[in-house]
Amino acid sequence: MNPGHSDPPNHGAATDGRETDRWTVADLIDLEYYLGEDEDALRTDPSARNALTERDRTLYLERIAPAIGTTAPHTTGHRRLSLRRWLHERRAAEPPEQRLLLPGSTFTQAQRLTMLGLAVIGVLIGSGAASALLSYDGQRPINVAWYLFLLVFVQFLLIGGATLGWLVRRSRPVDRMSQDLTLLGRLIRPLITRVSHWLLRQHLAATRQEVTDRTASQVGRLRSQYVLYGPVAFLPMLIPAQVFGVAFNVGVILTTIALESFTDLAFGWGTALDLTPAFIHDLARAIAWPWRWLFGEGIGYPTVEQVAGSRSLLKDPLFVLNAAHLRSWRWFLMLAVFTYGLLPRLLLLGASLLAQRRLLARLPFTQGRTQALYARLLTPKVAIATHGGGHGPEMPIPAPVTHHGPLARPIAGSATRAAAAPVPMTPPPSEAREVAPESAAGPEAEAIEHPGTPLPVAVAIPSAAPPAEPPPPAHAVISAYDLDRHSGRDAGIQATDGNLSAGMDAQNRGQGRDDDQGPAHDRSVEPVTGDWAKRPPQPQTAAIPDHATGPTVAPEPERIPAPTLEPALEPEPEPVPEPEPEPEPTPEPEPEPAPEPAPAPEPLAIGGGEVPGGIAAAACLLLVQLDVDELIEAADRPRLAELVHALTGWQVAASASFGSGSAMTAGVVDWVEGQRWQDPPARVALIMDGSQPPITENLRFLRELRAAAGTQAQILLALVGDPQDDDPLPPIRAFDFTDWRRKIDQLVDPYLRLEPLTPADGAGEA
Amino acid sequence: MALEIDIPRLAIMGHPNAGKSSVVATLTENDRIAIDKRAGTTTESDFYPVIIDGQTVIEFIDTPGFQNPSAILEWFQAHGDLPDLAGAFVQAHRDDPLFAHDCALLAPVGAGAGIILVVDGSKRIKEKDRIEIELLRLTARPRMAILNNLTNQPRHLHQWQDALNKAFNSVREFNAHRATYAERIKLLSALKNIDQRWEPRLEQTIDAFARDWERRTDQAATTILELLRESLGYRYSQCIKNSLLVFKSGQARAKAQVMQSFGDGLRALEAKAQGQIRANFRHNVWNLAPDSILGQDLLSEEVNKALGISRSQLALAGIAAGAASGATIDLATAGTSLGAAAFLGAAAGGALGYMGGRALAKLDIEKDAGTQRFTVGPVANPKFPFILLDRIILYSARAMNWSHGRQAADEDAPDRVADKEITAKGFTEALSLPQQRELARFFSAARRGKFYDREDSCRELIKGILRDVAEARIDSRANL
Repeated sequence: MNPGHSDPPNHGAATDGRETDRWTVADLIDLEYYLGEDEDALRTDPSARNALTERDRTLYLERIAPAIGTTAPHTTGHRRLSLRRWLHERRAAEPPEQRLLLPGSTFTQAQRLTMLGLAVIGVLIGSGAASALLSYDGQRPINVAWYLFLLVFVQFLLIGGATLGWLVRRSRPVDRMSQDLTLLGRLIRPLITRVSHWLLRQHLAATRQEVTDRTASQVGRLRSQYVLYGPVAFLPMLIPAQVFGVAFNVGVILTTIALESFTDLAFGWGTALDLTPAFIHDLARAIAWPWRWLFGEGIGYPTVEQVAGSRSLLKDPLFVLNAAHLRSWRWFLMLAVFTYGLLPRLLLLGASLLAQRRLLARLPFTQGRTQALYARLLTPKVAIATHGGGHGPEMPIPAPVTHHGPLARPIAGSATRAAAAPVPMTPPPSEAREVAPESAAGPEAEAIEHPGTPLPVAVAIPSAAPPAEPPPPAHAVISAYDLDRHSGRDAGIQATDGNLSAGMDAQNRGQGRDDDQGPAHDRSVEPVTGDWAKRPPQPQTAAIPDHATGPTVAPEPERIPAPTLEPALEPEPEPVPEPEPEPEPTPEPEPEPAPEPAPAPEPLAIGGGEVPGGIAAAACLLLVQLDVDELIEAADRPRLAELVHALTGWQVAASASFGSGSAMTAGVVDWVEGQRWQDPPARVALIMDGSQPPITENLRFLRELRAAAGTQAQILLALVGDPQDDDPLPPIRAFDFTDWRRKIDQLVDPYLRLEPLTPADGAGEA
Repeated sequence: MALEIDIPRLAIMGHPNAGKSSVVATLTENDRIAIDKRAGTTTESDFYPVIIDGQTVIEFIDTPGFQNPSAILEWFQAHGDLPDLAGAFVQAHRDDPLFAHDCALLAPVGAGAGIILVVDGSKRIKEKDRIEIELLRLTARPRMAILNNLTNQPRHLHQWQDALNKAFNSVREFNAHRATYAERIKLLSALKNIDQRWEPRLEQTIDAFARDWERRTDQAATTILELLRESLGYRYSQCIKNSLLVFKSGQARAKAQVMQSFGDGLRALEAKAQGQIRANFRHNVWNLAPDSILGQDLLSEEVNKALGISRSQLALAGIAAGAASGATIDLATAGTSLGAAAFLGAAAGGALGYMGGRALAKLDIEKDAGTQRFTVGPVANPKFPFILLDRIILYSARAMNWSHGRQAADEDAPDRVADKEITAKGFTEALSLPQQRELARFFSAARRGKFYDREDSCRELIKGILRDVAEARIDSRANL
């Protein structure tokens, strides 16, 4: 948007380039013209603003700023230079034939023509007046007084008045008057306007039609422009007036000289008053004061005798007088016109020109319209581009994972099918889908069976020990912590402390993980998990005693139960089939809430981390995400177990936490994998923080877990919301849940069930 | 792809749904950035370079959320000796589809970008947050954390501050859905502190933003003045055949119709100005609270009550007798001059004809051969211009303070940050008496279609209000 570029005939630029700070009236007119044009554009289409901003800023950066150099922005100098340069660029951008039609150049031409015309007229009038006043018929002498009065005195008064007006122009009333009432305002302005219009028409006649059309609409704007800029607008009128005055005087003087040179003129004076020639002489001498030093008595002004000798009396004929005396006034008259007519006019002309120049040089250009333009020049163009639409590949969904470790075996052994063996390692989800149906077909039967199992449990619970809480999980976790402290080996568990130190731990973990490659390592991790596993058993065994002690406080009972329980459990596994459920229900309710016992080192001793005797048919493993886990206090554990139970009908056999680092994940996965199930398809309940959107990491964990637990293992993923108050297990927001739903659906895992842990409405109670 | 260090590039990071895109949209005033309440809307790193005069001075990068933070951290820890962890990670995992997002988000960091971590300060610090904080610390890039607290839940803020302060050069609160111009500038200024080398560029950016804003404020003031001038000088006239005016009902209908059209004209002028202001502040997406006074009809009684200046202020400003400023014949007189005793009540339809008990404009009827020319206008009600001005300022305030990242805001969430409370009524009501007088003089000149020679001072006055609104020195009456 910079047509100035493609404009080779820039001859104006070279000259214009250096004296850019010089403003002329024509420049002002053009500036106003362009500002008006821009404003019109805005008025008709406000969206043009961007285009203007763009154009002006580009002009500034590419043409104006380099030309201006180092002047600091926002100073008057900078503003003047920028605007002047801007005007220059705008003019240069006009097609050549239009450039002549710009109001500024039209004005300049008009002013020039007007001045020329006025000068010619002035000379003509001047010489006319002079020759009229100097007409000599030979009968009576030319009356000096008339000549002096009209050509010197009146003129001098006019000049004096104008000067006075100019000097006091700062006072408001005079300013107003001078603008409205002066001859200049009334006469010369319309004159220039006329001439401009006439000129434009002359130009237009010679140009093409389109240019004519475009320009014709702009002609109207000319009329209002002379009022702008205060005195600067006034001076262009004053100057032609001075030119006229000068020309007039020149005419007078030339005519006077000519007449005096080529004709013999007799000058005289007369009066009916009682004035002596001496008085007249003094008067003449006083008038001649300015040139007396140069042209003395007798030349510059008449002597007393000459004055007396040129006095014409009605009674005396002309020839009575001395011809030399009669001629004595000639230079006096000419010098008087020169001094009192021409010189002041010349001075005024010079002063006007000077004033105009000074005013132009001092224009601050701070009026509203130029301010806007200046701001456009200086305001950086801020744009913010956009690369990319924000939509790349969807969040990756991890493919199903296969475990070849020993983990799958127990299930395979006890149950009829091998866990995840068939599932290939291939990443694309599509394959996962293929796999799913396959496995789904077989297991279906079993899947159906399972539902059967829980049912009894569900029934059992209420009957068995509704009031009692299933504290086991709590114990488990806490014990786990303690163990860690003791063993100091399993970083994953340390992380459960929820410290920021997780990162550092992770390193340890990483190493640990490397070691873990073989099954042996799994063992090493398992001890810990084993504790948790251990715990659950306790409850179960405790079942019987608890019932008795049920209401009584948890802590004590646990101790005792722990040992005893195991035996109790063991028997159950044998009756593998569903019937068993009953026993389990009873256990959980048990209350062994007390976590303290858990720390007992004994669990460590129990290798493998398996829940002793395998996990009962209606029991499950509970995995709690660290973020949730760290908020759950001992007292909340029973409620958690109950919520799980409400969703699934399962009792919690053992619990663990997960969610920080790969070592921890591996530990948990191994732990799950290492369990023996009395009723094979494994049951795992996961509690996760649903207020965090699902990410690949979560999904990968689900895949790992699936691989560990078996293809048909029932996995429940229960989501909790972000706690806003003291309730650690608030309901999840519907919005977050849908988010999870979408991702979980993409896993295509038919045995994975997604539920909000707490129903949306009943938040607190349970 | 080494980048010149002198162009600050800032990767906005965080986990999915932390509000990264909202922050970018607000910072760059770009409401075309797709923001979705659902997690993981951004799945690629998007670049938003700020271009000043064709030169990129700073670049914001909207990244996808972390998908595998633990794995990244562990990898970083395992390769702690590498000089450029992020770059090396990207190299190593480029081909793993599971890490596509993580690579996309770490790539700019690998290429030298600074980090702005966005966390949702209304939620508890979770394990993943700790992991992310730690892994970003390991990248050793200049980094800043933004607590994007979208709700009024302050209880975790301290915890966040503590956690973040340990790993970040600077931590700031910033609500991407409520941030005003002033807050944006403050955030940008804060970025200067995280890497000194960026200071010149950021200063340039801030300066450009500030100037750009000033220019827009000025344009808004121009639009407002234009609106006032046009509305106050607005007339509507219509020729109606005598045959339709034979009966009183016909006359009443004619008057109602003319008044209706007059009102519509005023509304259209206002709508036009609003459109300009919206474009001026770069809003494409926009919604008003359903109970906003801006949603009400311009000429309704509710608006009349809520905005403008009070009767006593009108009196003090010497314009209570506004009607006296011109030879205003209000509708009642017009009604009688019609010859019929049709009193205006029925004729003009109260709401339009009267605002606050005063006629809105006068109605002239010129009789011609066979037709009558009904002319309404200009507005004579002395309070109306103040109402109009208040409303358009309110609208501008809305546009200036409506953050571009707000599109995804859950306006119904019970715990969202409330918009500010109302303190006073209109903006003009809070002006000083001389200022009100100044405006009143401008109004009366506009009404007569004349140019007011001190329009500049009115412009300054309006710009002053707008500036104060933008810089939160005066209440933006966001709830009006």
